Amino acid sequence: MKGKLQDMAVADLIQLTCQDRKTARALIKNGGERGELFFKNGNVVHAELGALTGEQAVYRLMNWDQGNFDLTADVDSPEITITRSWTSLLLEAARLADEGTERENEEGEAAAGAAVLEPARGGDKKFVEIIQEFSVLPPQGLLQQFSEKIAGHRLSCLTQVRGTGLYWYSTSSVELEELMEQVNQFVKMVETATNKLGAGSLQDNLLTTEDAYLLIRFLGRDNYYIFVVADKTSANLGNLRHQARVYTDRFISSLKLEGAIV
Amino acid sequence: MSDNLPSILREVRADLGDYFLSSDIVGLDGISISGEAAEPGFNTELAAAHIAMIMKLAERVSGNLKLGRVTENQLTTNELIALSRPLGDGSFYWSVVAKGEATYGLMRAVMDQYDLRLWGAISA
Repeated sequence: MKGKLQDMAVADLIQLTCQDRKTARALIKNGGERGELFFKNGNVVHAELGALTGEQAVYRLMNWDQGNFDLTADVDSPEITITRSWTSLLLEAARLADEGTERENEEGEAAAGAAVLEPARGGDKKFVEIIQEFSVLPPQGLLQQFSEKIAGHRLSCLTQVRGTGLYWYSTSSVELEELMEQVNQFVKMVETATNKLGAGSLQDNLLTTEDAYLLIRFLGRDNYYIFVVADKTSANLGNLRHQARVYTDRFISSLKLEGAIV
Repeated sequence: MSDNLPSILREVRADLGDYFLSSDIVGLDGISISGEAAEPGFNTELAAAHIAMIMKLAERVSGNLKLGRVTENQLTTNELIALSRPLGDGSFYWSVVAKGEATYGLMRAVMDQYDLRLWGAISA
């Protein structure tokens, strides 16, 4: 497959190749410069660009918004210099792009005189969107992403009934310790009632007050649940429950990635 | 039609038809003052005790966050939906449990239709 970076950004190329779980080499040319990306079974395992190799080469290549690429299937990588997943790689690239600062590699980069990453340009917006939709963010980042999709959002937590896991996101100050103790007591009572009455497996609990909706969505793994509070006047109840359902699997994947659950 | 609690709960049961599983009026002490269940062996006392505790704990959480009075709690499992509300001055709770195939909208509509009558029968 051949193409222009104006039509398919490097982030798109990585996403498509990795989602197809391909083993391949992408040769990318931009003026007099030439870089290579190597894929193995759906992950980026090696990259080269001038004196740069590994992740730093990938980050630099992702700043190219002009040039050509040529993807050849079934080409093995000469070495393995990248071990993180492709989603994690893109996530780190987005984080660096968001910072909008040039970061120097501690030793080798300085010698090569190469800036690892330049501020985000127009072509980088695409891979930020890809990350938001497809990658598995860490729990804290995912909770913030989830919260931003809830109209009237006040507070959200990802936590355990019996355990130490706790992530939270709020735009206002909250006495979290006392609140979570009360929420956990509430959840335990809901669990106990469900079990004692043989009422099946818990999916969610929606508490409605004069001013707000408080939704608890059970993840069904290691006692984890999401707790979200939204203003009743501006929240859409259907969307609130829909987003909680949609994000259930994403939170499970994120917690797995974090090693919080197996 | 005599407006007493058992007869009103039988009407609630009729409105929900095959979806109906149980309904209880519970005091703040967790004791049921009236109940109706599709299954004869349904443990009303146990259900009543848990409903009261869930609602009390819900009020604590809402109070902590200053979210106002609790108006409803909906618990959903893969098998059923349980809706609970305070009645009248909040000295009693009313819960309706229906099969999971029932809709939240239907249950709310039925509860909206009967909650004032239930409170009227309690306070009469």
